[in-house]
Amino acid sequence: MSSSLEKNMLILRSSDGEEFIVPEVVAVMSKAIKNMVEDECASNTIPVPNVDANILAMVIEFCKKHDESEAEAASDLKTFDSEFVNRGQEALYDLITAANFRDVKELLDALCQNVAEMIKGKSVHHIRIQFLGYQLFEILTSNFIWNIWCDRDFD
Amino acid sequence: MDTADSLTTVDHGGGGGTTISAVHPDILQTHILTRLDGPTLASAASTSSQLRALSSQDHLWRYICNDKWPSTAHPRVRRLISSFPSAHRSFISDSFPSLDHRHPLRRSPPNRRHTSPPPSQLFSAVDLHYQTKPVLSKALATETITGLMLGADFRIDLLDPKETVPMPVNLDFRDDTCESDLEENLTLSWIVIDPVRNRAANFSSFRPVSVDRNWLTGDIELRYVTVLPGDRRGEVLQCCAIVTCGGREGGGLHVREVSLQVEDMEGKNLGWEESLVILLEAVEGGKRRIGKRGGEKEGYEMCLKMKKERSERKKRRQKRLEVASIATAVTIFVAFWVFVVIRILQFLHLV
Repeated sequence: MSSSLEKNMLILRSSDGEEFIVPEVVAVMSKAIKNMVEDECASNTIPVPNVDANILAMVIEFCKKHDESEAEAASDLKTFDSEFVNRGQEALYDLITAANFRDVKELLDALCQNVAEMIKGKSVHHIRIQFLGYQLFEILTSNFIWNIWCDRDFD
Repeated sequence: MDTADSLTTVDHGGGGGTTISAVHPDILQTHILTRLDGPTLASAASTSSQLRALSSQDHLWRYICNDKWPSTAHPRVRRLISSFPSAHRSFISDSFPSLDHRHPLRRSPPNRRHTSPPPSQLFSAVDLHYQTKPVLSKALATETITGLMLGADFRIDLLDPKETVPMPVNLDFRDDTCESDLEENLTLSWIVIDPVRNRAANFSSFRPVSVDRNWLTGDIELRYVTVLPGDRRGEVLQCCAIVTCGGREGGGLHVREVSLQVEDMEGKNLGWEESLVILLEAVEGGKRRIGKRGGEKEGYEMCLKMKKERSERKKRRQKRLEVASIATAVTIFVAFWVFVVIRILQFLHLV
């Protein structure tokens, strides 16, 4: 496909300068990289701005697993996915941003599904504390004020 | 909520960067919010102004609506819903919660009710589910004018007399467990839409409140009752959605009848005129229950209790009347004899 002499290996450089050598088949799981390779505008080093080494390593791990296990059982992949997305929120959001930016559909789907599962069934206060960084005292005070407001007689 | 929103602008030192706003709004909207269910989307929308703005897109609510009630995907119903104040969101907030039976136990007095003419058509969106499997989804427009003219009993029939719908599960009709199984798993939603005022309400109790077997035909009759306030204090009306299931020759079940009617406490069907007024009042002003489901049966039981109390009161009154009349009779009888005896004594004395 590519005229690259690297025996189908590509080098990805993260935003903080670290380089990762990955097989082309793995790299092209990202649509953005695939387009670059197909257009042959990629030299053997592809810069991946906005994504730092940590996150890039995770994305590559995910892509590798998905590429390898194409022949494997789907249930195996599912358990891997569920373990993979089971991370702290910060990493999760960074991964989502990276997956969206690099256009890795499977990863984005798995991550968003996970976030949606996390939100599902939670109350307003719970969501505020967990996802919007509210502190408990804020919830309590706002709740207090809101209750006083609601207890007024409107008629 | 405004008080809370102003607080979001404060930078939270401890958890900086871990808020969901780190995710690009487009991703939030197209990938995360679309995966939420109705109640969660509603609570997510009330957490912050950003999420509220993102979740105000109608298509998010339309997915939820069509997923929960497939009958709302009918083009006619969809057109009706699109004229609601905020389209599908208003529709869901109107029809998702059940009507609260505890709230006013009395209707507003007749002189304070506004008396606009009833709409010429009443729309119903009905969905019957066995667990999560759809059994029947149908949107129906009912002409009100013929019923009003004829003065007939109010009854909306969903199925044609000869039409039946097979149940997606294999249940033995003659089995006794069949009834409890249906009671557990068969859920109904009957949404009545007022096309004039653009409001809707769900008149089904979601799960059946009573299951009876017809002694003659052996059909199973499931009643989904919503309790509505009556005219006088302590009087209630029932809006009954009735599902009748019958057996099939080859085994298995099918749904024979699905209907809606309004009954008073004695179980008498109210006429079209009164029923329409009551239904539309409930659609417009009925309090929706806040919180989780599960109080519907309690409402029905309260209704039954009231009915029992009422009949007991009646019986007591009758008994009292009986005692009084007996007492009167005895008094008259005694008085008569006393009178007679006195006359005889007087007579004897005189002699």
